[in-house]
Amino acid sequence: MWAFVQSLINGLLNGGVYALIAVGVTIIFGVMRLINFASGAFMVLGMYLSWFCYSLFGLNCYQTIPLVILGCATIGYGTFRLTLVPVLKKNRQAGLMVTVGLSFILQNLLLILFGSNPLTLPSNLSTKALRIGSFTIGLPRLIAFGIAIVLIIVVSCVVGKTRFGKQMRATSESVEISEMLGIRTNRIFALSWTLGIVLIGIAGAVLTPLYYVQTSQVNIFRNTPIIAVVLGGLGSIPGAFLSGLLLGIIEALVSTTLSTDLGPLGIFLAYLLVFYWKPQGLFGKGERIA
Amino acid sequence: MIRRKRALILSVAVLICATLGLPFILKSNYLITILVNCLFFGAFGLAWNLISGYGGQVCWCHSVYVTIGAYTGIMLYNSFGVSPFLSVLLSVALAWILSTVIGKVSFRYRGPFFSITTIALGEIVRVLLLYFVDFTNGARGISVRYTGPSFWNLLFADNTPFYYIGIIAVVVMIGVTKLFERSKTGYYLRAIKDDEDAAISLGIQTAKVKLTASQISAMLTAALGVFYAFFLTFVEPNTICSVDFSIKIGSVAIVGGMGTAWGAVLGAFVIVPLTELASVLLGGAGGAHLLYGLALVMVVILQPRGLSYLFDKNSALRSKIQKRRRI
Repeated sequence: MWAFVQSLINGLLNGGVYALIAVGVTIIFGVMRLINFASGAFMVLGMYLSWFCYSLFGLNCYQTIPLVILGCATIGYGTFRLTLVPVLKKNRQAGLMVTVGLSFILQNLLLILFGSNPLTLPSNLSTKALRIGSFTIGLPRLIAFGIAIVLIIVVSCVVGKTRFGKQMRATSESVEISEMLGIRTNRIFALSWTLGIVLIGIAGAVLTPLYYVQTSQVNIFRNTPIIAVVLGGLGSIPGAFLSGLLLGIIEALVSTTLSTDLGPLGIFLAYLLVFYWKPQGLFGKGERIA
Repeated sequence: MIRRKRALILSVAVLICATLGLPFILKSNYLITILVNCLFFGAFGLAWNLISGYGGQVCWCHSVYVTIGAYTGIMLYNSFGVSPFLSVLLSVALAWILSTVIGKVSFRYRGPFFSITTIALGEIVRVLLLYFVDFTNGARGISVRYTGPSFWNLLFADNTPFYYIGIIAVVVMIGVTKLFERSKTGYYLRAIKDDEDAAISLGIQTAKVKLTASQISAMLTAALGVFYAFFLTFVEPNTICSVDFSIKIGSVAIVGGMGTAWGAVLGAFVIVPLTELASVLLGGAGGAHLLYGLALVMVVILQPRGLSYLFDKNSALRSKIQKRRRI
């Protein structure tokens, strides 16, 4: 019983970070109908940027967040202009292939630049923990969860209440009509992409106390957020958030009951089950069914 | 006219002789290994092309089918001495089962669901291979037990026989692709790629057609995978069952030209040697993989039809060249 609740807590906290990446991916999909397969690569980019700032200026990982935001925004916008603008008007498969290629390029560029040795960002928080009753809550995990929740709430407010958010929602419903109404959709595309990448990069930065900084993390963090996005309903921010948490919990439970290696299997089976019964996702608005 | 035809037949004959005699001209096992890789990647790319090029359903899990062929072939040989030519049957059956499960779930819906499912599948199979250590030897991988040269067990002293096996594989795949192009499934599939709504309105059962195509693609890849594994003689889950390998197979076909019967082979012969060069110049696996990614992105942005467009009879480029020639 204790193991169950402890892994529930850990899973929830892990899920918060998955949720943050998933929200980044779902924003990009909602506006541009493009699944960002490069999300894992951008997350690792955030990790490496954070480590780079640490090695240059000696900041701890939370202090590097503003610089990571700057770096990710620049690189995100740059990759958007270079690789995605030509492809956005073409068919769906082109965008898919470009993001896969982009993921490959980023991953190996980082490998060439920083080498394959796992790096660490030492943090004086990495061993501290909170104790509630007989359960331990690791402090870095809790802070990562907290930052993720705050960012998701902020983004929801931006999308729901600001004028920019309204333009984003309009573009996601219909690009042509938004253009007719005078919304500069190209700018909305660029800003949504950059926003998504920044969220994903911050997720990477706050994860540095918990994971080694190495390019093999790309594969680990690419699948779960995308599955969370599909589970929650493509384009739905609350869906992505809740599915991220849910997948974190499932992964933790499977890891403790069966084996750590089988965590991804639990996630995949959950995906297949939900997808079979409710293909538009738990909160989806309903993509067209064939 | 007769002179041109005679010249054509002569040049084709010379080309065939050169191709068949190449290993004896080159004499270097390293170069032959590169050529074998070119040929096998071309064959894999053509199999990928059946579902992803003609059908537009981009599949990133062909590494799983290669893995099925590889592990089945090597394990059956190591444990029971079964010839890889027979293991092909079991691996084809397993690939059929797996592709059916994936297809039945994801082909009912449009959108990126199929691609997402295939990427996730790659990770799952890799994790499973690592988990069942007692059965699959986990991360240590499995290797072919070499007990002296034998044709039926695909054991050879050097890689020259695999060069010829590779050529046969590519020729067979080109033949299969052309047959598929002209078959009913092939026509329906290309119709679905062009306009799925119109295809449905004509009464085409889209889910069934897509499923059939992906089954054929999977079975061919698994069969090729058996031979590829005996060429490599050592496989381990993190390389052969990775999304990276799937991306390589896809890139080869995309760069060469999806939707043509020989584009993937062209792509393989361009990319594989270039990546050898890149890994020498830029160091390690990073440089080579970087090239795959760059080639993939550049081709999709600049010329989505791939390199085979340069040879297309109807292309604008060709008519420009012909105009210049007349002047």
